[in-house]
Amino acid sequence: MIVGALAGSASSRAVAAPAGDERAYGGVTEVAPTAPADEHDDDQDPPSREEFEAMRRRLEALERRSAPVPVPPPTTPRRPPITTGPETGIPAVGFGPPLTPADYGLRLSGYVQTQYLHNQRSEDQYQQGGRPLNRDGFAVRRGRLRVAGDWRYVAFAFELDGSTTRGPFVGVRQAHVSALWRNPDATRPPYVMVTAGLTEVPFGHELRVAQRDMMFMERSTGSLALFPGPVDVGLRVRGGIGPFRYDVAVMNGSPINDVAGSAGFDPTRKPDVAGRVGFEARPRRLEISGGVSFLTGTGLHQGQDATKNQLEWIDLNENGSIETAEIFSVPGTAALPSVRFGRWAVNADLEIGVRSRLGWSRLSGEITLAQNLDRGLFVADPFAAGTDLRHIQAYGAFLQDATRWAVFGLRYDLYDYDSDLLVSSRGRAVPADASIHTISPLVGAVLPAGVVAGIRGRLMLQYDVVLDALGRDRRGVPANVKNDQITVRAQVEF
Amino acid sequence: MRRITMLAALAGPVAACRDEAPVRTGFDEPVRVVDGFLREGDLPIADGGPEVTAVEVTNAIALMGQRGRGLGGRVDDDTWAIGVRFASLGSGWWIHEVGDIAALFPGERDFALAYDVGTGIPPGLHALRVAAIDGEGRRGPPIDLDLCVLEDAVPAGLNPCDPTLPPPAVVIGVAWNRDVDLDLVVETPGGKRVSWKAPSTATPEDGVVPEGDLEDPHVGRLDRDSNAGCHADGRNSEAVVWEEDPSAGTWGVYVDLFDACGEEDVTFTASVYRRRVREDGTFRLEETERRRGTLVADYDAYGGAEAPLFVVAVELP
Repeated sequence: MIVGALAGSASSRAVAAPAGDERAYGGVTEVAPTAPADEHDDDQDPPSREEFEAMRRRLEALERRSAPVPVPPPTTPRRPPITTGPETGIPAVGFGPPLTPADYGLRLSGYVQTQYLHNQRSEDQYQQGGRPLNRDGFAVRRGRLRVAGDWRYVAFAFELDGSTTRGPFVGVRQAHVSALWRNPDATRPPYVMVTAGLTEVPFGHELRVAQRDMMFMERSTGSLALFPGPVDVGLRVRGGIGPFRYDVAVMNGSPINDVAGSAGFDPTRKPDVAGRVGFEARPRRLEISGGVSFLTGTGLHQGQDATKNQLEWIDLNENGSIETAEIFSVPGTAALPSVRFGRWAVNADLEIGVRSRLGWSRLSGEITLAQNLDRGLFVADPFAAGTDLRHIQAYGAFLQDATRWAVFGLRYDLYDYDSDLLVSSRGRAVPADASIHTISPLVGAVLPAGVVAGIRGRLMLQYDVVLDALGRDRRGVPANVKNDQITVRAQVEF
Repeated sequence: MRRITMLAALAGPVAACRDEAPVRTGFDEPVRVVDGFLREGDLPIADGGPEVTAVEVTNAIALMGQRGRGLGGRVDDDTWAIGVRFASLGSGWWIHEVGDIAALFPGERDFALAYDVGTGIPPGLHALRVAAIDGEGRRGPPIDLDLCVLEDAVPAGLNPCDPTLPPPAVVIGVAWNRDVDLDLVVETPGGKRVSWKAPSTATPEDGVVPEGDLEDPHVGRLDRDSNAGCHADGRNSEAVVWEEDPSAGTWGVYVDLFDACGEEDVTFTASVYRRRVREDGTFRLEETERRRGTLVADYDAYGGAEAPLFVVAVELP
C-alpha cells in the first residue's frame, strides 16, 4: 500500500509500508509524518522578478519531469466500521472485526462424512444392558474441523470430530505440536520432525492413511481390532532422507477409539513403543512405498473389586418361592490385583501405484503378526484365556481411478484373532478356525478439486461380504453368521 | 470388461460356498436357551434319526419370564446337538451342543442346558419339545414335556393349567411398562390403605395384625413390592389377592409413583379380576375392570409423600 502526503508546495514523498504493516493495520490508511518545509532566510534579499520567474519555470519543468505515477486505489477491503449501541458502547453487530485464520497464518479445513448403513444382523431389540441391536440407519460418521499452522521450524494441528455414530458426540482427534528441520525441497518430508501430543500411531500403512483420504469406508477388520483408533498420545519422531523414511513413537498404548463416544485412559504406566522404517519413491508414472513396523507394549488384566457378604437365593426346585434350603451365604471376597501382560506386533506393508490415461491404479497390502494386541474386537486377555493370544491380520486392496470422476476398488482382508482357538464339540475340545474374511467391493463418484470452488467430495458405495465362524449351524458346529453390510457414504471436504 | 468378468468369477464361488447362519437374539421367543442359537423354521426330519433317551427336569411349573430353568438328559451316540422349542409356539428351534459320552450309559451322550421362559405366552399347559439332531442337521423323533406356564402379573394359582382348581376369588392388579418403583394402593371400605407399608387388608389391633388373621382366606394380601428401591426385578407388577370373597363394600384402587428410577414417565394398567364358574363346574378368572393411565416423573414421583392417584372404585364382592 502506498501511504503518502503532500508537505508544502515544493516537497512531497511516498512511503511504501512493509507487508507486515499491511496485515497489522488491516488496510487502514495512515498519514505518515512529514518533514518540515524549508523556511526562507529572512536575512537574504528577496529575489528579483526575473529570478522568481526563472525559478518558477525550473520548478514547473521539474514537476512535469517528475509527474507522479498514478497510484491504484487500495484493493484490500477495509474493515467494516464497528457500530456501537447509542448508550451501552457495546458493539451492536457481531463481536468484533471479521478475521480469518489466514490473518494469523493458520489453515482451516475439514470434512463431513454422512452415511446410511444396513447390516444383516440388525434387530429391533435392546441388548442386555440397554444397547440397541439395530445397526441400520443414517449417521454422521465423521465431521472433522481442523486448524493447523505450519511455519519454518514449528507446526501444530488441532482437529475436532463431531459424530452421531453412538449418539451425538464431539471429541478431539488430533492435537499436537511439532518442531521441524525441513528439507529444502518442499515436496519432500522434513529431515526430522518431532511431534508431541495426540497423533497417529506409526504402524503399518493403513493406520497412517488420513481418514479423509481413505476410499474404503473403514480400516480392515483386523486393523480395527488391533488399533481401535489411529491416534494415541505420545512423542513421535519421523522424517525422511532421500527415499528412506523413518517414524518412531513412544505412546500411552491406548489408542483413542475411532468410533466416537468411547474413550479410556491407559491403565499401565509403561508406554508402548511403535515404529516404522520404509521407503517411498516416485519414478515417472509410478509410486512405490513400503516398510516394516513394530510395536511393543503392555496391557492389563483387570482385577476385581472387594465384595461384601451377601445372601443368595438359588431356586433349586424352580418353583419361584424361597425355601430355607435354597438360601446360601456368599462371603465377601478380597480384592484381586490386576496383572500386567506384554503384547507385541510386527508388520510389513507395500504400496504400488501406476498412473495411466485412466487415472491412478493402486495396489496395497500389509500383513501383521501380533500377540495379545486385540483391543477392539475380541479384547485379548491372556490371563482369562489361559494362554497368549496370537493374531494374524492381512489385507490386499486394489483401487482404480476411472477418469477424474469415478473410482472403484476391491479389498480382501483377513483377521484371525486366535490362531490357537479350541472350541467344544460334542464334549471335546477341538481346534477351530477363528478367521474372519471380509471381501469389500467399492464403487464411487468423485467431485474433484477445482470443479466447485473450495470443495471436493465423493459419493461411495461399499458392500462387505463377511465370512466368519461366529454362528452355529443346525448341528451346533461353528458356522458363518449372516452379517454382511452395505454402506452408502457422502463426503464433502473443504 | 475383463475386470468385471474377473469380479463375477470371484463372487460366484464365494456366494456358492456360503452357508450363513442367521443370528437373532430371540428375545421375543417363548423360550430362550442360554448359550444356544436360534434357527428359524422347522428342522428336516431323519427317518430313524437320533433319539432322546432320557430327559430330566426339576419342575413342571414355570412362571413367565423365569430364568435359568434346567433341562438335561441323554441322547444317542450319533447326536451332534439338541433342539428345544415349544411345540406350538415360537418361530424355530434352539440349538445347543451335546456333551461327551455318558460314563454310565455306553452308547449315549449327556446333555444339559438352561433355558429362560419368555413373556407373552398364553398361560396354561404347553408342550416343550426336545429332539436330538444328527450330523446332517436333521432331527429325530421329538419328546414333548408338559410345562405349566403361569402368568406372574395375575396370580391365578394353577387354574390356567387345571381349570378344575379354583383361582383366587378376586385379584386387583396393576402392571406397568418401565422399570420404576410404582406401588399399588387398595383402600378398603373401612378406610385402610393396603400397600407395601401395610400389605394386607387385615385390621391391626394395637398396631399389630393378629397372627391368625393372615390365614383368613377373606383377607387380601399384597403379593410383592415390585422394583422396590429401584432394584429392577423384571416383574413390573403388583397385585392384591383374595382367596375368597372380601368384605362387601366399595374398594378404591390407587397407584403411587414412589420413584421414577430415572425414567421420564410410566404407563400403567390397573385391572380387577373375579372368579367365575363355568357350566361344567370348572373355574376361570375374568377381567371385570380395566383402567389405563400415565404418570410423569416430574409431577408424580414424590417418594410416597403425596396422595396416590385414584384410578377406579369397585363394588366387591
